[in-house]
Amino acid sequence: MSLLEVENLDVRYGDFQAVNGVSLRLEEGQTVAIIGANGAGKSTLLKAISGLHPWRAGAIRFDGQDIAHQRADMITRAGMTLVPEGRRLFGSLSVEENLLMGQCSERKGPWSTDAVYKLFPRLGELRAVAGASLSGGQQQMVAIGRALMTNPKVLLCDELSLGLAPSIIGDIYRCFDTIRASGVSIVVIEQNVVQAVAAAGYAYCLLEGRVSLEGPTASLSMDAITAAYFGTGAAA
Amino acid sequence: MTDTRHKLIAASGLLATGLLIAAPHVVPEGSLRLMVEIFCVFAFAQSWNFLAGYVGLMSFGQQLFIGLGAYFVFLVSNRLALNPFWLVPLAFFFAGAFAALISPLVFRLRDAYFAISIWVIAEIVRLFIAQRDYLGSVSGLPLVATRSMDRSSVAMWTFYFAALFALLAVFGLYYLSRSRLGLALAAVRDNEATAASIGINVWWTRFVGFVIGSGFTGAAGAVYYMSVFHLEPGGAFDPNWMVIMLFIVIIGGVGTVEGPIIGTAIYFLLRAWFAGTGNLYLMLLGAAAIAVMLISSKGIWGVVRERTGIDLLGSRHLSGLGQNPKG
Amino acid sequence: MIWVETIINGMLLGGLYALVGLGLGYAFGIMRIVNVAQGDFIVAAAFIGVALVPWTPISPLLVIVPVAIISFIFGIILQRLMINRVLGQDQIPQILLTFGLAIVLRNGMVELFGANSQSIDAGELRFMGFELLGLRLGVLPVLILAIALALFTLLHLWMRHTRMGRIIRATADDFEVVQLTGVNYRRVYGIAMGVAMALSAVAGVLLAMRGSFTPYSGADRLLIAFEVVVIGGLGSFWGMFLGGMLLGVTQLVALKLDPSSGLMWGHLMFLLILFVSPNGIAGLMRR
Repeated sequence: MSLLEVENLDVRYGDFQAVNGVSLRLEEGQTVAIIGANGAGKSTLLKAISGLHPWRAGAIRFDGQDIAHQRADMITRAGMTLVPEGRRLFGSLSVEENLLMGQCSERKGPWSTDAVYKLFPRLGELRAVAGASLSGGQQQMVAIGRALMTNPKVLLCDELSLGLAPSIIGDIYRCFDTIRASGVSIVVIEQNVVQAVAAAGYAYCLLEGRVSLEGPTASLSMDAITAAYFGTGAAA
Repeated sequence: MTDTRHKLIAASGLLATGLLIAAPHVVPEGSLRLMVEIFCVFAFAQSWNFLAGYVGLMSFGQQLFIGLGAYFVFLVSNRLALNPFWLVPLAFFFAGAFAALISPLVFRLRDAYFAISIWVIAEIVRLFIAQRDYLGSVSGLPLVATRSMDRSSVAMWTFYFAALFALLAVFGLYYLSRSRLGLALAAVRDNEATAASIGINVWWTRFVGFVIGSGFTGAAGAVYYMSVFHLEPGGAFDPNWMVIMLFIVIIGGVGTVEGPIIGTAIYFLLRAWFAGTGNLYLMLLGAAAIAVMLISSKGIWGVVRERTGIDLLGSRHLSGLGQNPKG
Repeated sequence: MIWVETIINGMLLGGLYALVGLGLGYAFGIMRIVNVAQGDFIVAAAFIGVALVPWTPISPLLVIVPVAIISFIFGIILQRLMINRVLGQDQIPQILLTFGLAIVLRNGMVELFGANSQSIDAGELRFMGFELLGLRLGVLPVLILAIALALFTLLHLWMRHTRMGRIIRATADDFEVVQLTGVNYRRVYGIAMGVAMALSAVAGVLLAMRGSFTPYSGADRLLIAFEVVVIGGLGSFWGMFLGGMLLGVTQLVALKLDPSSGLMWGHLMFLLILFVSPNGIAGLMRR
């Protein structure tokens, strides 16, 4: 049984069907990437899985439990949380306070403020600084740290690389090994295909709300991905 | 299709006008006075509905303009011995000018803070008048000019003015909402940034809406107090006016032309049934407003229109209520 | 000397006004909710105070404790049962909902207690006074200012340095994302509204000890609260305190010069501040 199973999920965004019959699975210890162009429905899919956005039809099972229409805070407490698009730190809270918010999940596990500072040494020096005055890369680290502080089994990451310099993106993705080693399974969303494919063992490509291609990253050719990404040629 | 509807609406307007012109000659005076009150209260409510549902400005101080319009007509008529009926249109401009004067100040605040700031100004004006003998102080002013006039013709003309405002409140709002200004107002109400990006001057559009809505309240307020012949600050600037307006609009459906008609009917029916129970009926109004907000903030007409698709005046000008602007 | 005394008394009153505004400003700062029924809740708390004072041991001032607790619980219930259900991008439903509540509450109180003027008997405290540097001051007003200051400070410390305070601040920053840390923001809103209500309740009881009230006083109380919040600069903590002071002093000085003016000069001061600085005192200081 997979850790996370999504079956035939339909999500609407107003009158717009953003996600259309998407199925995916995540095994324990695995990293899965969801790639797709802007507007392919990636963010909406993750928001639905994390409980932030209601969905219409389908099923989501997490850790053997049906989590249909549970509130986002309950899903977080059950061990699955999201690093939201655009970081969204608590601007008036300091770095340390932002991290401490993660403890509200009341889950036991390896992650503490010290562990996060070990992962991102730069944050230790900035612990008293307000979240709003950090650089983009630092904010992303705090956002990941805050999510890790909930001691999740599954970490959903929405566009980690958005608006960041390539060297910083590299730094952040390098931490994935440590995070995985602590027993966290990861789903990443990326527009940046190369980055995502390098980080994940399995990838799904979304096109206009549907899965247009999936498979182990080792077996996916760049041509097939490009075709599935833009919807050109015979991807299937 | 829309063309026939347009004709139907114009025809019903003409029919209503005809009936209203005949009314004073057939209806007994007592009923006439009640109708004046109903029409004026409806006009108050509709102008609040215009502000809240069409302009996107919620005010908790519209009693300010009721009082201003009434005081303007009473004072000028008494001082200059003028026929007050000629002054009613001027009351529109007086109340409108006052609204224009305060807008630069109150437009600095948004939402509830805007709403209450106008209430504060109403309180200032009330307290100011209550202390000035030449304004009648606490005990108020009589309307002198009408004493020497023929009683039944005063009643008739008061009725005609009230009826005119009621008609304007329905058909004027209907035509206004589909005019250029009406579309600009809707754009500003729904999304300021988008409105600005298509070249609408947000501040100015809102300003014009506020002035028109408040001026209309003022003129209707003048007619209301002319039918009572007496005016005092405690009554004219009574926040309970707001309670009534809010009740009517919320119950009926904010942002619709038809809603306040239903709301006014319900209000006067409730008042008739619960006459003599005093506060109980006010509590009922409040409870009904809460219930409507919890069930559907669109009000009775909003729900009816949603469920049945009936849209008498073809005015799909739902307010922003219940919609997610981010969509 | 009489003017110095008036100004000092104005500041004593102003501290209490600040407290009247604090409940409204707190709820607004955290939930962006403007509770229009706040004024009527303040009056309702005063009525509860009247009822509980005979059973309050030691000092009648201590009646603020049970009234605050009752109001706290009531605030939670109100938020969770009603206001949470109309939360959204648009503020109008919340405002109209609380407006309806205000009408029910006000007329319910008239029905229950009649429209007569009442006050909470503070016992002998009411008549006690002392001399300070040649000024004659009442003990009760000074105590009331001290309570107001203590509550401002306590709230500030609680918000800054406790886990719950941190959760409330995070929820105020981003109620959506706070769920991703396992927080049910509806519960947090309930607690915040409870705190806002408790603060208002204390203010209501103290106001009723200093002066008198009727079921209709809610409108004036709401206007004062609202002016304090706007003068202070929408949600600025200590700005509100200064705003209250300014209103209190304005009112007492004006009453000396123009005894029948009521709250008019306070209202005018509010307009003046709005004219000079749209962001209130906090805005002035940021310049």
